[in-house]
Amino acid sequence: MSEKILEIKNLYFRYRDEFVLEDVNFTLDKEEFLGIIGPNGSGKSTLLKLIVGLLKPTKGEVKVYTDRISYIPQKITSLYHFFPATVEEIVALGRLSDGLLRRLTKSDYELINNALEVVNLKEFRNKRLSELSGGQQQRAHIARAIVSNPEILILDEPTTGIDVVNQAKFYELLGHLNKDMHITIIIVSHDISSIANEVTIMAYLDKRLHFIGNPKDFFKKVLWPLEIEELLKE
Amino acid sequence: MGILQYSFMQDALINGVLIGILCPLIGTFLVLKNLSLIADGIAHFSFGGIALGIVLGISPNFTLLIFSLIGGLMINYIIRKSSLFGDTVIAILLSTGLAIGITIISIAKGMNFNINAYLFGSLLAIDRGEIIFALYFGIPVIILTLLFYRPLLYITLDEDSAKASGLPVEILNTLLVLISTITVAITIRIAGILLASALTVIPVATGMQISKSFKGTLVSSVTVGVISIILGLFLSYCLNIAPGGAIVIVNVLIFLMSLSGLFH
Repeated sequence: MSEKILEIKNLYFRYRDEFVLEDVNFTLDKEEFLGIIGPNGSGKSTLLKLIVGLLKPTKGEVKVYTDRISYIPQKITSLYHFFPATVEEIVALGRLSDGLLRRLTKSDYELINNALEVVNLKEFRNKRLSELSGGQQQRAHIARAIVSNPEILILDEPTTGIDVVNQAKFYELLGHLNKDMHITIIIVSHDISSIANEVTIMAYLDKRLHFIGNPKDFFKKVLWPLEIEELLKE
Repeated sequence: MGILQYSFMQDALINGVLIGILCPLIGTFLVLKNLSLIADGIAHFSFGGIALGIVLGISPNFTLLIFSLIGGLMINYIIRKSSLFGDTVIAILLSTGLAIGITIISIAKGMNFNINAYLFGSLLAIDRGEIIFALYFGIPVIILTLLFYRPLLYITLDEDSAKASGLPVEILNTLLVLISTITVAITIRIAGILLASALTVIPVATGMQISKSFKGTLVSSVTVGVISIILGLFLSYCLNIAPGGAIVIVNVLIFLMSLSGLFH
């Protein structure tokens, strides 16, 4: 029987006077790959922030049954383009989850090496992060997540500004982390067709959760009717 | 090296090297957190504390330290709790501290104030007590920063990810504010309120031009900080100019050389 990793019950969240999320309910099992889509301002990023504990629910419950969480937000830092740190330094930060003041050991460096190999960035380890392309930078953050040995990896719009070819490679990498490394993944994305190939569950959020289930059903029950409706309007 | 025979010069060098290490070390985190002006804000806020100390007959060093701590913690608190930009909050606190200081000075007209020493520093006129004060607080700041260097780097790069990974982000931010305020309090007495932020920002800007890595940026910022203080002190002695001004001018010159790619 599959084991639950996330449970969301009757979740509401309000920014000032406006509800951004209303009555969201779902559970997620370990090793699933959940893709969340929805229009701008539909509460997708807010939902992720509630899951990782950056925000507190106005009402309802968010239960995450692990403390090995890795989160890659939409915007890392406003000084990102100038940030003086090498890929290896960034990836090594993932090891802090095992202790704030511990020094990096030989086995830490082995983990870092392996992670860089997985994301295909070994030869870029001594490059400044800002010298890398958008796709490579995101892969460096994935490597940082991998070395922290997460049970759940949460990504917010990770392919924004990345070209189509590299987007496909990126989703392939996420598929590998999910299937072969058994990491549960939750991703918010605009690229419906790209994520549909990799995810095991698809959710459509627009303040409320309008759909959650099999990606094929999503196309049949949500996306195609919506598109037909749009076509009929035209 | 005749000038080193003077004890005031030896004291100035000890204190100068200390702030040459401290300011860029802390400044690297502040600049990369987009809080370059926080040292300036804390320094100006502490002006009120200095004036209050002088009027009440309490050691201004003590009130300076207390006001620096209050200023730093308030800036951190308001930035986190309000929807205001960091520079707006810093500007409010900076003006408040200056207003308190000026008001106290105007009330206490006729008192013997040497406020210039705090505004512009008095590197060549520091006494042993101040050196002990600086070493007593400065060395623990250096040790703490080096101990927590990687967690501080993580919250500087990506606070949200660090928090999601379980790092105590609030505690680390408070630690950064505390070590920044102590650094500013030590620096004010030596380099003055007006120069505290220059020493926190300019060597870091230079270090960022020189190094690719974070560790390299820290090392090169500190090296530039120490070299500029030693050179500035010697220039000040040889040309009979204000040491604070000489130090900042040397800093700016090194920064301009780094911009031209001279150190690559």
